[in-house]
Amino acid sequence: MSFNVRKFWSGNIAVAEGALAAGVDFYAGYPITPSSEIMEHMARELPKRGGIFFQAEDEIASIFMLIGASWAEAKPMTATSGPGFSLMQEGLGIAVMTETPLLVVDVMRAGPGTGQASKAAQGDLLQARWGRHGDQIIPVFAPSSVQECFELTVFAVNVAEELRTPVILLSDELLAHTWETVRVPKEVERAERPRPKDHEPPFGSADPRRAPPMPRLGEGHALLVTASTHDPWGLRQTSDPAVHRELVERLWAKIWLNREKLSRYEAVGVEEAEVGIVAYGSVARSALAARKLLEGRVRVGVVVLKTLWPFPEEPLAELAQRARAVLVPELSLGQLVWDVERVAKGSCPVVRFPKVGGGIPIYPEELAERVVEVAK
Amino acid sequence: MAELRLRLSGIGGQGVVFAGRLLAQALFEEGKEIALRYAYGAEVMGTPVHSELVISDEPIICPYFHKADVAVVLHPRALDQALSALSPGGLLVGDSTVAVPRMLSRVEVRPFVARTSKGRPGDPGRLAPVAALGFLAKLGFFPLEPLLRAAQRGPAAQENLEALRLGFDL
Repeated sequence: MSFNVRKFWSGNIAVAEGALAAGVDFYAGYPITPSSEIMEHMARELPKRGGIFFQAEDEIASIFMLIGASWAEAKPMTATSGPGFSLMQEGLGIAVMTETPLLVVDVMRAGPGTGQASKAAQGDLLQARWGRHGDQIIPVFAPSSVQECFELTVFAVNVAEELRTPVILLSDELLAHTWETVRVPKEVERAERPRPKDHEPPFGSADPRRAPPMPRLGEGHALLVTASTHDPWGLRQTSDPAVHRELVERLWAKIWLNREKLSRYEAVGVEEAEVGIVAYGSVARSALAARKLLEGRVRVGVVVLKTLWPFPEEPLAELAQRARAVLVPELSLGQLVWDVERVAKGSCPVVRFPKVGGGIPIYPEELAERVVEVAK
Repeated sequence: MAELRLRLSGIGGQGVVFAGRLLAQALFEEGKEIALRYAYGAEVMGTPVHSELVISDEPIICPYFHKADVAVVLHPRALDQALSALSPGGLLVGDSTVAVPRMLSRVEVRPFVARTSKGRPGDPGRLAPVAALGFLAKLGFFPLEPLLRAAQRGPAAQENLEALRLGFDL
């Protein structure tokens, strides 16, 4: 990839710029720290580029405006934080069922409730995965640097379009308000949602890996878009168990069967690892720094997860096989650790490293200290 | 230059956040790798605020640090917090109004005089943070010229340029 511009951006600005580069042309949202700079940046930039910016009355309205805008040919996004993210869950479920491309950015802060506005936390991971009722998967991505805030936002928008699905980008206050150098590529690849060629059903696909074609507004399709169980033509079928099973399985398979394509992670020193660290978001930076601090003392393997769902199992399974123990630092009481334990399958101890409160980072030094203890 | 971890501490209203951004922008434009964070939250006039920078020639692995190599304290109210987060052997640059305890043996202390700006009533010392950058440039942590270039922008350009020179000439 070649780069032509070097920028000094915060994580939040890089997310907004990534969205613009990916072709996002509609933003509806309700301001909430620590995500507000994304909204402010879009308010400034979108109208200049022919896009639409709308400050909604709340987060519920925002997510439904995204659904409407997406069906009206926009590439939509919003950004929020914990309380707003909770309010958006119903809309996200409807976006899954109606196969509506959209991007929701959740810049995590300490909760529950209004919690500590606006101190960093990573307590929304499980909500990002399981916040909706019913069987469903929404791809979840998490940047750990300002550069990745840009790149993963582009990726997230493209995944939303290609697979006709809502996508969640999980950031956190630390990353959102860290300013770093970003190398902006000359060109950004943009994916487009699949379109019907002839008379194709808008909610059915012969290939379970592919999203069904999304009809273009104004082309004369007699279209029904419903969050109730529907057949491939969009007709409500709320009594037929087979229709429901086929639909829910297809919605799941569309994401699950593409999990390798969606899987992004960075594995450093895994082959030689005595102790492993698995982390995401801002904490991943401390994990990489702890590894460097311990060079010559303990061989540390680090897996930085950038895709959180579907969960990238391969690198973690390998780490758990090779390391004597795997440490999972998180700015929560422990959410990521559950999946690491599941994937490790008892092949080595999985050690929690929770840190909650005050938005204080997990510092490399304290993490390195814990690694040394674990290595004994 | 090896990686430098710098924390500026003062109180809301002094321009501690502004000074962090000015330094970061100046060195970024010089091609340095910079990571910048600053107080974000309900801090208001008169309560402690800070700016944190990592400055390096190489890509920065981690922007988050607890112990600073250099701590600049611009107001007495920010002293305790700054001292508890200074590396052993680190440098404390204290505004001359900050009474740095004498018992400190593990840090080097360099006082400088800059807090009084123009004698305006209620002024919490708006010259101090930018003057501190000039003083750090004098101590050789980074060159002055990029700061002077970056400070030429904005409505307070003249005042900031004067503050940088004031700190450099101390």
